[in-house]
Amino acid sequence: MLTTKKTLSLIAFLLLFLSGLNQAWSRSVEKQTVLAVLTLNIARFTSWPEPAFNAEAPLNLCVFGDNIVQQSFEAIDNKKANNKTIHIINLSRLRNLDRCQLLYLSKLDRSRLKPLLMELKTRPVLTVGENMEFLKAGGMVGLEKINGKMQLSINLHAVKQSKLVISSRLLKLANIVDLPARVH
Amino acid sequence: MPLPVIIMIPKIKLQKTALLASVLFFTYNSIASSDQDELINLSVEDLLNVEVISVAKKAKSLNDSPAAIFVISQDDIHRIGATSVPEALRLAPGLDVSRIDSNKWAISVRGFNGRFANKLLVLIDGRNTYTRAFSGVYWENQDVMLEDVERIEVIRGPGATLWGANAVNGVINIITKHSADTQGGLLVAGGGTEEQGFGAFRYGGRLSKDTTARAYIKGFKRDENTHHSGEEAGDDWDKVQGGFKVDSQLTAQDSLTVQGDAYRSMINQNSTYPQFTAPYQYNFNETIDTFGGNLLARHQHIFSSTSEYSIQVFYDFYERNQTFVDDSRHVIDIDFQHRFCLLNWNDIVWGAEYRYTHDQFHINSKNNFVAPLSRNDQLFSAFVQDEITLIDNSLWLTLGSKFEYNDYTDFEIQPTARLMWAPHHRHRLWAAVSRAVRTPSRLEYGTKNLAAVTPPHSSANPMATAIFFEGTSQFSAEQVISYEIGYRSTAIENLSIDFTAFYNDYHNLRSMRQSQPSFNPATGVFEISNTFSNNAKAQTYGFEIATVWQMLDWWRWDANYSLLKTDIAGPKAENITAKSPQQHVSLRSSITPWQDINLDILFRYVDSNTAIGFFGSETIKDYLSMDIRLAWQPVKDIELSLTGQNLLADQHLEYRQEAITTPTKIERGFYGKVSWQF
Repeated sequence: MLTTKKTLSLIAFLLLFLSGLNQAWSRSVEKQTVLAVLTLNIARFTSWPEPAFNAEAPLNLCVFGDNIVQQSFEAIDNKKANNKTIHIINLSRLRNLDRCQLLYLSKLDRSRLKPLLMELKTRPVLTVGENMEFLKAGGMVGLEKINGKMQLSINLHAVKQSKLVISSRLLKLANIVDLPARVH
Repeated sequence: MPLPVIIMIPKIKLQKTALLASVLFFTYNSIASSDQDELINLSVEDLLNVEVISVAKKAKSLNDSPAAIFVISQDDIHRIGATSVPEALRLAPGLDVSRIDSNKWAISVRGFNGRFANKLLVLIDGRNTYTRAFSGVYWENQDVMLEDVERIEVIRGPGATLWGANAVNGVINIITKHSADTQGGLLVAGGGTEEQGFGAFRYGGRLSKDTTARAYIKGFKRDENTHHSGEEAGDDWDKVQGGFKVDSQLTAQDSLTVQGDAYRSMINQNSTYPQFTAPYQYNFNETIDTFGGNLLARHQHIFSSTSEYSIQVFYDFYERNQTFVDDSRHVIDIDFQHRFCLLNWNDIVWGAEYRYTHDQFHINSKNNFVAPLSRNDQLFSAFVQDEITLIDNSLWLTLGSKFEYNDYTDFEIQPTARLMWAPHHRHRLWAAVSRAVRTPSRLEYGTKNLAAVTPPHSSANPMATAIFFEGTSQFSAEQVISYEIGYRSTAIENLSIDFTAFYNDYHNLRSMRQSQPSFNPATGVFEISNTFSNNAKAQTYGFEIATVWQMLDWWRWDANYSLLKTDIAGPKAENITAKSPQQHVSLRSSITPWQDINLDILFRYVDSNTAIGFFGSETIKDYLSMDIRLAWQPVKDIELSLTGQNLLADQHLEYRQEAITTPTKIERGFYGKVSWQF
């Protein structure tokens, strides 16, 4: 009986000890969750040109990524961005992208990323990705973790080309780059 | 959360523990969910000021393939402290990784294991490591800078439609990082009891605006293990390997990769060979000097996001110098692939390949014959595969086939049909039927080897009997028809489940045709010859489960289970093929109790199995083993780690080689390691 008690208290102690150790964890937020919420905010500060979608339709936010990326975006499904309802579409294949107003691309092979962004270049699709490499390939918004905080970078050249408008309130917070996608 | 804990505790205490556990559980979970709600209400300014952490969650990025795919990430390889590719492969479900001794492994999927296992195809950055010598892989020759590996994809089930003959039961793709992702220096050094000493140095830089490169050199020395009898096994070895990779973006649409490796290794073993006079076998320590290298170039041109082609050329060679047999092999392979989209609902990929092989044997023994001693072989193949979207984003049908012409069995067709259904983005169901073949090896085609000499039994039978194994040009390809179904789910928060069941029907499997004993006056013994034939059949069936549970942001569990049943029919069925373990269980716990500390514990249970060889068959007992690794990052670019391997026993037997070496028990080992990035 004593040993059972001992075991029990040992386990309890271990759990409490580990939870105590992990206060550092609880103060910070998991990156993927922040990425999804930031994407929602970016949608809120963006206006699409008139023909991009009709007034009644929801704002289609297409997500291309693994299960962890997809799950993080579930939290912002049906949330409002201005007067639009966000509708999350999890893409299995990079097809029929015309239905997307916002395309979140997680870790796409470099060789695939470039031609895809080239094709979307003049279409009113806001492209959001995870690093500087993404902007260099012609992406519009990059979210990168630098020194434990998220940094927002916006490629103005790419945004203008697709006739999207990002509010100056957001631009003020962003690291602005003006990168025409290199042809060579 | 504390499910494994609850099970250990008597009933009376259950409530109290469960209460405590659930309190803790809900505390954590509520933090997680309220976090997200709170975050949504934060302004962008605040969001950009939140302290953010990256959690090493297990992603199912290949969720959308209608096949049993498991991915071992760089993080996984790093965190279990793997020092070789086979050790990393132990993380995959359904994979039978058995260490024969310090320098030899037996690795297979879904049965038929052995050092000379021949139903698994292994590719390193697109280079086929298969050798025609025995239709398998010399694992001791295959190494990479493990720190530069991006991921290892383990595909269970036939992959012959894309990868060709010999991808019968599975394919392993080792993929190294793009050189842009390995910029800067990395120095790794360590040593311990079994891993006596190892070191690696890599440096990556930018050669021009569009070209990045890296080069590496590594080496190790590994200690010997223990024979069954308790003596030193004499299986220590060392290896030096170096290599490079250059990636260049030639134009916006064209990229070029050039890479290569070279190695040399001194492999020691204690060998036992048969002889015609008493005591009918003799034993000595020999050293195998093996070296080799490869050079690969790949050009990729991208037309659009749905259309591209690639051309790959590689050259690979190795030479092995043993006491009685020297074997060298040169392979040149040219591969073309083109992918395009047709009518927006067909994703078509087709390709063609040509392979030329030159080999050369030198035999320094009267008991081994290889005919012919040198061969030049050619292989022509083409494939086409179409992924048809039946319902957008939810139902896909994949049809395809490989058409191959080889110098041993002429024409082979290897088709597949696969269906995948995504009823919801958190669920995937798939089913597949495929055919694959395993083409003959040089060993099966034209060799004669003395396997054993049995001593005289009695005065009535006063002569010893020599047993030979003989290859024949009549030997044809082994075949399988494989049926698979799979289900993947991430429906439960923080838990992912991957389930696959299979039924494999094999025909024309290798068997032996035994001759009548005849007396040979030259050797003074009776001789029996076993000629390879294709008269065996087998059915294997079973299932594999891989689960990942992200219990907390800093605590992950990976649990795998696989069951395999093997039914073999044919003459002398028990000696036709090895029986792989019926059950494999692995449980891994990855804990990051503090941001700069990682603790990983890996348990493996391997059921008993049967090895076969010139010695007959031998049952290997089941075993449980445990590895632990503790790592600390005192500053950002330096990591110190301690790893203990095979901790639960002083030594244990995992497998026995088909011939020459005697059973060797793998010893417990410890090593320390420092890695510095700059």
